[in-house]
Amino acid sequence: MPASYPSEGESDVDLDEYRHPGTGCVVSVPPGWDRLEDPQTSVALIAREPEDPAGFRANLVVTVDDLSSGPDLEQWQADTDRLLRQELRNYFLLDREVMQFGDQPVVRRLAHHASPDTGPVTMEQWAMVSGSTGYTLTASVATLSYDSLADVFSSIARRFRPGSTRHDEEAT
Amino acid sequence: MTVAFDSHTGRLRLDQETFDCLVAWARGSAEPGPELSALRDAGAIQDGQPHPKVWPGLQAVTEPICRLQAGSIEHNGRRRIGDGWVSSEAAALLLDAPDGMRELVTVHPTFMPMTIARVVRLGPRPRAGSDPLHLPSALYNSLFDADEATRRQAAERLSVGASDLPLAAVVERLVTGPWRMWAVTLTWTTPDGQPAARGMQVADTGAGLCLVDTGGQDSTLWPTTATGVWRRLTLLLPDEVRTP
Repeated sequence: MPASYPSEGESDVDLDEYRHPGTGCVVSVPPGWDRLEDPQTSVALIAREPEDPAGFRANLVVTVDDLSSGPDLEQWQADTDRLLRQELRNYFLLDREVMQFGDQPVVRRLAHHASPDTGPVTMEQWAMVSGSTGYTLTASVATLSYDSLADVFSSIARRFRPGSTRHDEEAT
Repeated sequence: MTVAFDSHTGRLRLDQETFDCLVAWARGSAEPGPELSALRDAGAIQDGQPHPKVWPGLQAVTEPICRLQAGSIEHNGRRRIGDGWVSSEAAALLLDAPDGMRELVTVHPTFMPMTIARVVRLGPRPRAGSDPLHLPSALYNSLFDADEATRRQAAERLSVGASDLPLAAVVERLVTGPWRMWAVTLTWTTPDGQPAARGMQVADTGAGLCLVDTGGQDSTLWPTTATGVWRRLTLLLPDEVRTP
């Protein structure tokens, strides 16, 4: 019998620190992962594990949303829940909680989705609000590889630091 | 009706005797049973061959790398069981259906964790705490009895009202229900001929999830989250299936 069942923890993998020039947010990225900066509107960063012809490449995506129209974290994330159900094929919500990173409330969700292109994917997301900007860190991995990266993803999320956007600076 | 087959999804609903007939036929039995005509009528067998949606699952049943056994019990005593066969190409799960029939679901092995998660309705639950609850196995059995009065007596012996009792909210929910206890075990033979197994047992209440360890004279409820359960589900398959 184990002395205790392991729970979600921190990884001891060394991570590279990346600062996004537009938003100032700081993201920890596993060494050797490709980085795409500002690949599309509202997407600050995509980082992907090295090419793996055998299957789905684990990746991190940082998205930035303007919340100046008013939704708070819970309202914003309730909308996100609906959007994910609509947009992702075979979407299944596995876990969802509101947690604290320091004094920062964060919504964490774990979900599964699958399409013919990707196969089964486990997606973990952390969403937080800084000023009038919503930051979402999304980590995705082939489902059978989830356990091997879960602690790395958790470490990346806990080290994430939102930036101050130009909009927030203008507002103050 | 003993057979219902959806050729679009590949879902096959049938009784146990008909399933046994299908497997015997796939193994080449000369007289698999009288249910064969119903399988033909439903389209699960066409022109002497299994329907393409049935074939991968049937191959897994007849040539499995590992076997799966699953079961659940609810607060009202309702039990359901499942049998499974996993090859490098397919996982076939034969599950109890509500109407007394059984349903054969075939997926790629990489979808097996998700299929189990759907069947047991894994989803967000409150965090139940951090400390495990150790209890004698007799008390554990009473706590998961189908009779509420028996469960309440067990909870009272645990001093459920005490503020320092680990998992007090879970224990209280075990008394009142609803809850579901489920277990899944995979067994296989390693390349060097040794028997191997992986499994997990989970108590699912509205007050939180626990991994259950019933080995020895004592049983233990370990608080966990849906994420913790999911991590273990993704680790169940043997390496021979994970990396074909």
